[in-house]
Amino acid sequence: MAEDDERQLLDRCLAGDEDACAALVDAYARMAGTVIWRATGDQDLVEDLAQETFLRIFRALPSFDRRAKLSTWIYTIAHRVAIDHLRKAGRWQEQSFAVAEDEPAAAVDLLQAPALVRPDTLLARSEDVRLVRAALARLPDKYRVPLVYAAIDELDYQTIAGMLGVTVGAVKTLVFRGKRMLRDEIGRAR
Amino acid sequence: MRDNEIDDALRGQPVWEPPPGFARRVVRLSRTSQLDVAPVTLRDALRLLPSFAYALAMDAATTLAGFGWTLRQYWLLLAR
Repeated sequence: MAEDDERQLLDRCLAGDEDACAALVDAYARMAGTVIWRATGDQDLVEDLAQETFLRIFRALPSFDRRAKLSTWIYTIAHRVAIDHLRKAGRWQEQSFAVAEDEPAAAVDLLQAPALVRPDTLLARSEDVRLVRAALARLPDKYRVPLVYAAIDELDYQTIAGMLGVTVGAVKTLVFRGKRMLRDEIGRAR
Repeated sequence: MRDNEIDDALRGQPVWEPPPGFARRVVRLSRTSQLDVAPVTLRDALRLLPSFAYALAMDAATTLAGFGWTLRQYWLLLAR
């Protein structure tokens, strides 16, 4: 969404225009829900938590700092709603995302663009996906969350850094280490 | 499993699609929740004043009646 359109939408929504508020939800619900799905790993929770996310957004909208990027702000709230839920359910390991920034160069090309898929490889790929998901569930949250966010095409490292409250270098390090741990987990499972 | 296969598996996860009418429902809910937490105005307080005064008067009358009845019972007991 263009910056001017975004500003107009915000102004109209703050003035109580329900169409503008609905347009705001329409524009960001897909990504906010995807963030929640990746963080919790539970599709059944997504609709309720996405709803909670937008209720929080509407409550906090008057205090939104216009200098910040709206999408990053919205995804940060979606991330926090997901983490709050995991915390209440006793499924969150309390660990800071802060990390010493090392191995950043190795992480730059961490997640490569998807290759074209041949039909005969689809079956093998579904087995890969099952293995990767099982291994992901065993990773510490500190590494799992940045790794799954980095796999969402629309989220760049800058946005993820804003969501987690760390530097871009720290995100790269977390993703790099997360992927290394994932590879080890998959190796152990085979 | 090779690195690019892990990347494909990570990237291949589906995105969430909101159900039809999701945005309208959220906006409606947001309006309702704002009404729930709306602060009480002076006009609201004044409108509630007669009900409050009536409830207070009824409470006072019941208490006095109860007190009078108890006094009467003591008086009857002592008069025997």
